[in-house]
Amino acid sequence: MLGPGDRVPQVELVGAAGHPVELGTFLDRRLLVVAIRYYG
Amino acid sequence: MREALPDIRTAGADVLAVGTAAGWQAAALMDGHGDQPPLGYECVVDPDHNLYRALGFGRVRAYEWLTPRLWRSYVGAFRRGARQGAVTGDIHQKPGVAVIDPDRTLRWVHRAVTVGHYPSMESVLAVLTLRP
Repeated sequence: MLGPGDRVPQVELVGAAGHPVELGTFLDRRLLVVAIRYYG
Repeated sequence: MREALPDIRTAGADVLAVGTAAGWQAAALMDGHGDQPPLGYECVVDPDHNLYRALGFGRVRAYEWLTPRLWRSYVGAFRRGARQGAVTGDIHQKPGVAVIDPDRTLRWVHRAVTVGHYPSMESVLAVLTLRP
């Protein structure tokens, strides 16, 4: 399990339009707050 | 998260919401629907649970659906305006919040102990203003 200081892998996600997108796409010289939740 | 977005961006960060549900739900959240305004940040889905597994977020076990703590969280979320929509994803997934540096270093992570267990925005903003 990852802890602070560990590198998060470059995982593939799916954009709202259905296209694959890598996590790093959203890390454009900014910190990123990733909120994982159930949308339903 | 939506209300705190200006403070988050002032701190040099942005928000990415990740769910396991359908892409159309992510699009609806981004665009706004019904009386809900657009979220103002990106929403994506993680159908293979890649990020969810990497960050070590757990699953709600069967017995936990019977615990008062879970239902207190659920009622709390309802009071804050959250509403259950169409069930399309993994309802057993516990939520969580992570702060990731631009080089993909995990700065901070909150792993929920049950559904609806979110960190305070004050604690998230405090992490964002720390210098690495």
